[in-house]
Amino acid sequence: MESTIINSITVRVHRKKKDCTMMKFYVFLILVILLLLVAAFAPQIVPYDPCAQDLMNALQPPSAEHPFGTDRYGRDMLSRVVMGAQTTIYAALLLVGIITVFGTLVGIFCGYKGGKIDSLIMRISDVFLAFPGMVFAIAVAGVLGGGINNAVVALACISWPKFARLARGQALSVKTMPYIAAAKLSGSGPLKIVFKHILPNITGPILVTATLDIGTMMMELAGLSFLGLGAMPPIAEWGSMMSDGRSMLQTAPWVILAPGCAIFITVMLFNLLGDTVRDVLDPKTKRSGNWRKK
Amino acid sequence: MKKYIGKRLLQLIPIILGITLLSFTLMQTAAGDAVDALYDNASGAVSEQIKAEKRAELGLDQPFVIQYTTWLGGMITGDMGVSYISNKPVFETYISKLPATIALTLTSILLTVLVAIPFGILSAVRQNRFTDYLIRFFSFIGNSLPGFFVSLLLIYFLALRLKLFPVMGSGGGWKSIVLPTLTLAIAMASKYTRQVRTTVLEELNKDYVLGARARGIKEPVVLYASVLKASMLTIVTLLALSIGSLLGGTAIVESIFMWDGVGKLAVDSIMMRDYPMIQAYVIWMALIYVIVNLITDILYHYLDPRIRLEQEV
Repeated sequence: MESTIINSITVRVHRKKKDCTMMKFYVFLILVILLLLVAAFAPQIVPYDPCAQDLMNALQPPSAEHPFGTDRYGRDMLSRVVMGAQTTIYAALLLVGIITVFGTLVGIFCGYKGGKIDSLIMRISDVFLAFPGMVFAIAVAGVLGGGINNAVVALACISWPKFARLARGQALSVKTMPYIAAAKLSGSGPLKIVFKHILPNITGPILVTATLDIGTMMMELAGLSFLGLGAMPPIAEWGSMMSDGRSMLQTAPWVILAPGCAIFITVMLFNLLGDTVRDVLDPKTKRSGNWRKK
Repeated sequence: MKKYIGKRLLQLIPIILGITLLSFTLMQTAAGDAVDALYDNASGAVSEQIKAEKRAELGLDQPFVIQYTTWLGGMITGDMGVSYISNKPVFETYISKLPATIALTLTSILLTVLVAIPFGILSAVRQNRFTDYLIRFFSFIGNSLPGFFVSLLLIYFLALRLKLFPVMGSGGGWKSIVLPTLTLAIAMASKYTRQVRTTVLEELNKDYVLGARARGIKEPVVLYASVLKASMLTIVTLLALSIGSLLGGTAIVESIFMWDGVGKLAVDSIMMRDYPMIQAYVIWMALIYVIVNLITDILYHYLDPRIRLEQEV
């Protein structure tokens, strides 16, 4: 009798906790979707042309007309920040998409195949992991011409090994499971085993890492643009906007603050989403559950 | 053990060969070269003939393979060449920039450890209470702030408004290291506070902790003698990785604060297409990468002797 009561209480508490996680997940998901919508329809919703110069109104502090002020060419900061959302978010999602897919495929291949080809690819990935992104960015800029796509390609080149290693490790541990042997015995080819039996079982951790990586990659991309190795003016991008405003820090801090806060909020939102995705998909690392009462 | 270290250090050779070849190839594809960068910044147009002479002098007119093998031959004999821009020896210039970067690495790691470990433990012990929420809130904010934004905010408030610290430069005595250290430590301390919290919580949930408590061992003893020791493995590994990336020079922070370290040197060399200097930077990154990985593996083995070293290779 007593134990059933306790059981029902724990079940209820557990359910409540789970509901809470799911609710958090939906809230953050909706916020991120809103942000993506803003980014997608940026050209339609901006109040001013983000590249239109108006030197008469240069470096105006925030006002009713220009809520975030204007930069040194008199461009409206609000419009530039909203347009910057498109550039920055698009680039970060593209980058994370590329490295997740490519890294996972390479990683599964290495983990499944093993042997010489595996150690060769892992050595190559060492070279890329140790390689500074800046050097890559400048070279890619030479081939493709300037632009945010350079920074994406450069960071993709040095970031895929992270996912390759994760997928490789996961594939190695899944490979030894009895059901893989069973699938082999029943005559499944290697492609079928990899895509039907291994891949679905390792998507969880990879998805979590990918979501948590969006924020980091966004900061790295903005960092390259800040150094002048990413997005080129006059395109609105948060990193290059901040680099542009550096010299006016003392007289016009809003030129820095607007894109800085934009990047901070966006990164935080994606990080929050990543954290909840982890809680939803991977209950093992859930940080709730009070040890004192256990 | 010695054999193992030797074996791991041998890995350096293919990595350095691969990485320098890669960067040489990449630099070939980059638009413009050192000569362009050198003369285009100078006032007045310079004729193509002078540029061509300068290229011949630097060996930039040679085919790619010859350039690379010449450079490689020099490096093996201990000569890393001369900077295209300043005409000073690469090796000496690079070494002269190292102390600034090392100093910044040490101060920021020290501050990180001093903040992250106490707050991480506090947050874990007070799980789901006000202190915990407060610490987690701040660490979350610190985690989402890009370094260049933090540094500009610090410059604006602490240097320009309150005039507490100099805005930039490494010549201003101890005060000039404060702002770059704070910038780097805010991001790292946030990350590690969360990490310490998670690790300590994981450890606190284990059965031996319950056993120790049941035997009446005092809470601080459980915490510091057992839990903290066991949690150190993860934390030390992560710290080693961070030290590695800091030693590589934090290009953005060093450039913003005009901190005269290897990160700023790297940015400047890249902008000026100073190939020999870029090569030195790339080699330094490879060295750090291999050595840091080796050290973490050895630490793993030392902290948890169940982990075998030899199987790793």
